[in-house]
Amino acid sequence: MRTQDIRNALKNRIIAEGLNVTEHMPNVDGNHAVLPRLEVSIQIIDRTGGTLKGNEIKREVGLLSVSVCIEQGVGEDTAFTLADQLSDLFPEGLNLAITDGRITILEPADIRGGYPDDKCWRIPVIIRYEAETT
Amino acid sequence: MANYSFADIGKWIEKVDRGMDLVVKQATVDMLADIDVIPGIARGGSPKRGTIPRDKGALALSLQSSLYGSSAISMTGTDSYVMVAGKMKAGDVATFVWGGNVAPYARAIHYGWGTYPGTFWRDVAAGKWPSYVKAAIVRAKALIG
Repeated sequence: MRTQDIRNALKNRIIAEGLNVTEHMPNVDGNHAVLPRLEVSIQIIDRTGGTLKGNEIKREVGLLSVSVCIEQGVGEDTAFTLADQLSDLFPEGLNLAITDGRITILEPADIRGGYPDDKCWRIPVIIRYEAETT
Repeated sequence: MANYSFADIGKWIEKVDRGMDLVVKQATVDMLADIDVIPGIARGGSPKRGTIPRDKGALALSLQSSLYGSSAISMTGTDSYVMVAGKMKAGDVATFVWGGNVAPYARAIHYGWGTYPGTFWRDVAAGKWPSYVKAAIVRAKALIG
């Protein structure tokens, strides 16, 4: 099970389903002035190896974090509509196949409270996943 | 491992209760103690996943730890969790919150803003909760058998 496969499977789920907004993936240049937009990041929390050599990833738990960014001063409806659409893309129990493994969404997406950025209003959507070697 | 008869059921319950209390206290303390406070960008550091950056504000200090259950207590400060976790019993609800009036920017630092990536200390800690509980169970077993 490779890190790249895990990350790509999660990102591709968002890209492929198309929410009709700009998506900013990690380390990809994008126009940060475009709104609304989704800013994607993936945080690895814990990894378990399966061998004494320690070079195999048996299990990875992590967070897919997507910030929904909208204009300031226009209310929250647009942001929460997008957040709900994202949540629908990653329902609890969803399985995504990857080479030599599988990703499972552990719980419903956690849509958090919004806060102002310099130029936008952000609503974080946190999706917990587990990737396992099969 | 000790053997219990029916007459010892009271002792057994007491032992299980003690074990559960120990686990919840230890796991909570371990989880919060593992959230490192490191120099932030203003102090020459860089964002690191699972940590709280210390810049010029009072983010780390803004931690408010509260316990609702067997006893009610609420404290503020970087180490406030120690007292709250120490009083926890299995089944209690404790909350640990950063931000408030002294650090209203807590969410921005946690989730990110502009090109700052966010350090997600709360979510990283919560995601590791099963590991803290597992380790605390081992220690509780060693302590009370």
